[in-house]
Amino acid sequence: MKAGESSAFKYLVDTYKGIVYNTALSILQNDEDAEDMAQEVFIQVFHSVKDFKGESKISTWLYRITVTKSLDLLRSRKRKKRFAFVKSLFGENNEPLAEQASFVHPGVQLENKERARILFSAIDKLPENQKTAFLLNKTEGLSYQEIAEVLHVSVSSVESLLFRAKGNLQKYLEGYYKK
Amino acid sequence: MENKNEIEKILASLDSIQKAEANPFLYEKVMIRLEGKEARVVSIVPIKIWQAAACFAVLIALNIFVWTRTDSVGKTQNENKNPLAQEYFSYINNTIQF
Repeated sequence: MKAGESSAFKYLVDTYKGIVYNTALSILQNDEDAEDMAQEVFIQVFHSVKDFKGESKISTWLYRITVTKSLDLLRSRKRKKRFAFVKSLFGENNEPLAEQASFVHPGVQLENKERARILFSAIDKLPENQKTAFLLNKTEGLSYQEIAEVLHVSVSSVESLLFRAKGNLQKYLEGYYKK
Repeated sequence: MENKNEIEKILASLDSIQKAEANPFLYEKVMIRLEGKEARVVSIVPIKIWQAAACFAVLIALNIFVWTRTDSVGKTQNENKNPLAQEYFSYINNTIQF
């Protein structure tokens, strides 16, 4: 792979496309964006495989790239939204701001679809690190140790992140039912 | 109480989540994008080198042109100045003699 053999690259894409796509899908909450992101991640992998030192598992490395790039995309979108909002205040752009359509994950069971939709919209409000830890744990099924390796933090930090994430989600959901 | 139960159910709604299916042609799509990027890089780089070389050559040519021209202009100017200077000095010498 490091020598750039295309068959090795094909094997890598075919083996790991699932985790890359699913991670991006959970964070971005949009299947088209997730597919674009999966392509972007593998393009980056193709160019930077020489930098992979093999100190961690390939899957950990891929999770890390996917999480970083997906969060970067969300951040740049938020910046654009804020800029568009400021422009609209000055009357330069009176178009309504596009809101994220409510996301239903295709892997959720039919009877849970509505609940999962509410949960995903609450997850979207979490701070980045809590959101990432929660999604890696819930949708990817990663252990605390694996999440710690992906996020470059200690296991106790992951425990704390997940504890705070659940607390915040509970608060958001209580607010949702009080409306 | 009912809401609390519902919130618990919502929080547990991802417990049995299945993996979504990634595009089976992802590798092909990635390769198309990679080849597209490489083609763009290949077509852009030689043009840039070409342009840089052309600019450099034009600069050198302009420098040589200006340098040779100022040299010859300087010479002709000096040649034109000499008779005038001689005439001026001879005039001064004549007036001093008076």
